[in-house]
Parts: sequence; C-alpha cells; structure tokens
Amino acid sequence: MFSRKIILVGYIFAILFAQRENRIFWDGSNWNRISTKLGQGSESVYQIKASHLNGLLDGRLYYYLKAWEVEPLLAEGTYNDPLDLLRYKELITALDNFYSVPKHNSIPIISAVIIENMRIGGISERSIYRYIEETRFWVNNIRASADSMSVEILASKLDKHLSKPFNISERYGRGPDYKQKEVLIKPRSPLKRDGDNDKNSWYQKLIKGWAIGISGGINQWNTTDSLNSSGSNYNFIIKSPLHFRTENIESRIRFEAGVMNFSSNLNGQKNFMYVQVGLRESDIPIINRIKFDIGAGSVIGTRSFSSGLIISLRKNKLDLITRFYSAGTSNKAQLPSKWSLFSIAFNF
Amino acid sequence: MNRILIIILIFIVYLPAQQMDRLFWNGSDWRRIEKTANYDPELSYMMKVGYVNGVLDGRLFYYLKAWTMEQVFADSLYAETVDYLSPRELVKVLDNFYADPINGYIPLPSAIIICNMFGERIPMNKIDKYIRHSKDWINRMILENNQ
Repeated sequence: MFSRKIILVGYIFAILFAQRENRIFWDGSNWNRISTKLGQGSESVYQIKASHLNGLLDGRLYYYLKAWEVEPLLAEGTYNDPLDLLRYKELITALDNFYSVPKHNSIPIISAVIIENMRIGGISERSIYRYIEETRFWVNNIRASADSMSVEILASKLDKHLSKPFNISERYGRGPDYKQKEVLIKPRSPLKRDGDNDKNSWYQKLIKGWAIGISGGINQWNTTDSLNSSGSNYNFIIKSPLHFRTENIESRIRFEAGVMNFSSNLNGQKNFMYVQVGLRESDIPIINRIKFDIGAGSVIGTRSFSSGLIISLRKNKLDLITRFYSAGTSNKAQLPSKWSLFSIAFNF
Repeated sequence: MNRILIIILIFIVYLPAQQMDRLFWNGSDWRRIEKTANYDPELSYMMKVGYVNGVLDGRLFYYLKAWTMEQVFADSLYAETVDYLSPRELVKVLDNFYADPINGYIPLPSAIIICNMFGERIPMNKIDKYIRHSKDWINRMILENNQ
C-alpha cells in the first residue's frame, strides 16, 4: 500500500517535470508561482514581475529597432502591438487579475500584456476573446510541435546509436585512442598483446617455451622368439619451444633421454626426438587431448623409429604415452624389430 | 538660498531626464538589482533570471510573428544565438561582463548576445568588434531619440 503511494507520487512528479520541460514562454503558472514562492503582497514579488516585464519590453524594443533599420515598413507591421498604455504597477495588477482565472494559465505573459493593453485601449471584449482563443490555439500548437520534435530527436538519436557498429570502447566513452585488449578464446586468463613481449632480451627469448619433465613406464616386445619380454624405462624429458600452432593443428618437438631395460638382460640408454601433432579447437574435448607421436633416435645403441599416441590425462601435466617401436638395422641381434612401450609421463 | 533651491530643482529635473534617455536596461540597472534586492542572492538571481527570460520571450514572440509575415527577413534578423547558455549560466556571465565598468552602457539585450558569443568561444576579435558596434549603435539610438 505504501509502495503504491510512492509510485503514485513519483508518477505525479514525473508528469509535472515533463510538463515543465516543453514550456516555450513564461506563462500564467510562472507568474503565479512567483507569488506562491515569495508570499502574496511581498515587495520582492513586484520587483521580480517588474523585472520580467522590463525584459519583455526591452526584448521587443531591441528587435523593433534592429528591424526598423533594415525594413521600416515590415517592422511597423510586426511590432504594432500596444504595450505601453499601462504603467508597470497597473500592468502587474491587471496581469494578476488575468491569471487568477485558471484557464488563462497557458497564455504567455507577453500575450497577456497585449491583451490587457487592448482592454485599456478600448478594444471590444469580443475581439479580445478571439485574440485569447487564437493565442491559446497557436501556443498549444507550438507545444505539441515541441513534443513531437522531442520524440523525433530521441528517435533519431536511437537510430544513430543503433546504426553504429558495436564497439564497447566507444560506448563507454573511452575514445578512439583506447587500446583494446586482445583476448584469446581458450586460455584461462586473458592475454594482453603489447610491446612488453618484444622487449625481452635474447636469453629470455631462448629459454622461453622450454620445459622439463620425467617419465617412467613399462616395455614389452612381442617377437616370436622373445615373447613376453618386458622391462622398464625412465626418461628425462625436454620439451622444446620448437612448436607451431594454427587454429586447428598444434605440433611440438621434444627430446627424451633415459635408460631402458628388459628382462632378457638388455639394458642401455635411449635418446630420442619426438614430434607430436594433434588437433585443437575440436568440438570433442578428448580429441584435443590426443596427439599423434612419431620419433627417431637410438635405443640401446640401435637406430629406432617409433609411432604412437599421447593422451593428456591432465592438460600439460600428466601424459599417458603409448609407443610402438621398430628397430633399425645396425644391431638387430640386441633388440627385436617391434616392441611396444607404455609409460606415464609427468611434465613440469 | 534661492540659488541652492534652483540647483536642487535642476538636479531633481535632470536626474529623471537622464533616466528617460535610457532606452534599455544596461549595466547600471543590472548592478542595481542586487541593491534593490537588499543583497539577497536568491532574490537578485530571481530578478535577473526574470529579466533574462523576459528578453528571450519578447525576442521569441516577435520572431514567430515576423516569421509568419516574412520568413527570410525574420531568419536574418534573429540569426544570433541567444540560447547557447542556460539562464543560470547567462546570469553568471552577465555579472562578469558588467563587472567591467567600460561595458556599463551596453544594453542588456546586446550583452546577452555577447555572453552567448563568449560561451560559443567565438574569436575575441569578432566579439570586440560586436561590442564596439553595440556601443556605436546604442549611442546613435540615444542621440536620435533625444533629437
């Protein structure tokens, strides 16, 4: 109930202020408000009203004289209203009487001055009544035009706004000099592209992108003469900054060095270089975590090649590596031609 | 004794005659408002804003009337900007303008145009030219009125 009253009062205020906005001239409501504000019979009321009347007459006389210098005939025709038949005191009293009738409130003060001078000049009441009605008509017309003009101005502003391409910088008034942040889609935090990256020294550029890790796993080969020979491997991983990336494909090169042993007393070092290629930005999340892995290097002194898959269990932290090795030809006696390797790798 | 009476009589006759010569309110009237209002800032402001609104209403009323008779003439006669400043701003700028005694006898309707020119940041040489023109114009009008 209380909120309803608040809304009602707010609505009345809004309407009253809106009404005041499009008033073109001072009129009866302004005239009466002076007395209401300062108290009836106050000397100040007379002074303010006299000031306004002085302003009206000065404004009229100024432009009459200006017009008269250029076009005397036209000036005489335009400015021929009787305005000076009454003294200020008499005029103020006459206007007070005129605006005591509420329906005259919308008549501009300058028209009321003309009306009161017409009355004192002996013009018939019938003519005065017609003049009042005509005044009321054109004042309302102008007010309606001003209202529609306001609507047109607002509509044109809206059109102008909507026709603009969306630019958050302009919308928030940051101006054309504002440097926009370039935000990549996927990274967890927005990245800025600014000049700071280019200011890095050569050694910073060199070490940037390198990463290290360790891996460990089990080996097993499946040749006909050495079935179920198994072993383990431990590797030190160096992830190089040599990688390239497009919107859909990502590749990276990394090196692994470690030890490898098998149950058939085959032990030795492993040095390999791997190239991993995978899709990115796929709609299927698991695809983005899988990389095809090809490599070349030496295992226990034998040139070997590998192919396999790497699945990232935790992104860039924990990889499940599945490789299928084929041994080279230099030392076939020590190493079978085909064996597979499973390892869990940790990258840091 | 008679001489003194004659001198006082001359003063009494001469002072209103001076007032009659004035066609418009000018700087001295503007400054006198504060005294009339007993230095009450709110009342002085209301009187000043009442006068400014009066000038603007008188101008607009006769512009509309002239426009119905001769549009080109009306547009050329009323070409000056008088509504660049709000009434409150205008009153402040007029106070500053008339603080300089040399501007005292420029009519208030001209001063309103000049203050709006200040607001629009029109080059000072053009404003000075307009002020000189206004002074010449009001002097000429007063002389013609006296004749």
